[in-house]
Amino acid sequence: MAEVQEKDKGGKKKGKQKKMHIHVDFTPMVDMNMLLICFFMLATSMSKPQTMEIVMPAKETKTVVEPTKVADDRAVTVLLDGEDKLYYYEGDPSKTDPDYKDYNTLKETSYDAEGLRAYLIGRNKKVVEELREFKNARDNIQNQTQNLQKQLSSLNEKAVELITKNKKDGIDAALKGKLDTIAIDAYKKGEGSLMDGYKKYVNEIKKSSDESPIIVLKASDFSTYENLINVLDEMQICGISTYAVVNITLQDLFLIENYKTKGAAAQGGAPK
Amino acid sequence: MPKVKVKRKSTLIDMTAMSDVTVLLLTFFMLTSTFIQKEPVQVATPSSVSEIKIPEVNVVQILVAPNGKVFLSMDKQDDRVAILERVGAQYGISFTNEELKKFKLINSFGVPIKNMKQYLALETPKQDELINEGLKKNSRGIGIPVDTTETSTNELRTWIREARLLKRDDLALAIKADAKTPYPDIKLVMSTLQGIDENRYNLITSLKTIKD
Repeated sequence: MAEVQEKDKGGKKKGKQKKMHIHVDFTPMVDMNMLLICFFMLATSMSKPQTMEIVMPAKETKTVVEPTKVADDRAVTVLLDGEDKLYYYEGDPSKTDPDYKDYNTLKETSYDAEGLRAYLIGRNKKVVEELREFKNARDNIQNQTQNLQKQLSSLNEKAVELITKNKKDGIDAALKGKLDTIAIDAYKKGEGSLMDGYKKYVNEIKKSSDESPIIVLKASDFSTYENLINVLDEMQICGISTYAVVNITLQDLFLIENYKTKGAAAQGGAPK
Repeated sequence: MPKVKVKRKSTLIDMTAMSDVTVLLLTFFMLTSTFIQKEPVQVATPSSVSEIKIPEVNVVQILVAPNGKVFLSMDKQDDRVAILERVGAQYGISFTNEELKKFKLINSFGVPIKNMKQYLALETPKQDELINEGLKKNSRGIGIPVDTTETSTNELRTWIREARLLKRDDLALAIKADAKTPYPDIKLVMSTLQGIDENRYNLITSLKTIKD
């Protein structure tokens, strides 16, 4: 596909070398590259998937169950039911029985921001506010460090410029590279340890309050994985440090049934 | 009227610059890309506000299909083979070198161990077909058996335990499940992990932002 164009000016000036204009047509090359780019764009996954870390309680038969030193008024039991229904009641059923007679024991809520989240944020006000303050402060500091970083790198460039001017024989690439790596290293190290520190501090804030609720999550067989993830998400948003996913009990199912039938199920007596 | 001479312009466009750009782009994509792993089922993970990234290596991923079938994937080929041998030994099945070589290339697998030999004997397209058919019919021949027991019938338990024994501390577990998976199926997997003291693991989600 290469075209070699010869321009001959009629041989007026003899002895002068003929000018060769070599013109290579790059169109097929571009075509091929575009195809390859398309392939790579489609066949790759750019972002790594997100995860949420979860720590499940150890198996009950293997560990001695400590009597929890939790005040009963801190415990909230959240029940996940089918059709994206969500209920909660206050109190810990393993200690004190909820009022089975009254169907209003169970409160219906939802996965929306006005549902469970509003309730939990209300219960966990102190921690949520502290977390918010912390995040604002952190963002502030991060902006400042970024500005400093910019200044530093421009200083670095100026230093390199000066050196090259003095040297006069072009850029000393090795030196420039070294300066750059030092700056980048320092920055990375700082940020990495910073992130760990932040994480620890967030956990401290979450655990600091002795009023924040302790959540017991119970999912019924009709709920889906999405429901579970959504509720776990709410825990994170509301800054709740203590929660556990446990099996749903017959009593809980009874409570749901009783709520749905508006107390009719309780006529037969409380479940045992 | 004098004739206006229309100068003939060449329609040739110099593609060199364009070519430069495309080559740069291509290089970028080649260097940054990690290929999408083939998975037996497409799952739509639920979204979460969590921003933790999953570790890159030594991850055992438990894939749960919407109908509760369980598949496993491991990222290192040699580990994968070593674990298959160990699990095989548990069930009194030994694999030939040929079979191990084939298993090495399968990223994600999910058949009961007693069917593994048959499965490995098939060609790759046939394997995919078998999985797809099995998923449609919800057949028992597909998916790693999970149950509530703590015996050898719970094959997921054996797989994870052997993986842990092989890799010790540098092994991360991740569960990737479809948003519509019924909770009992997830519970089965979770309680199996609980039974072998695997209490810390990752749930793979996609990112969303908090709506206020």
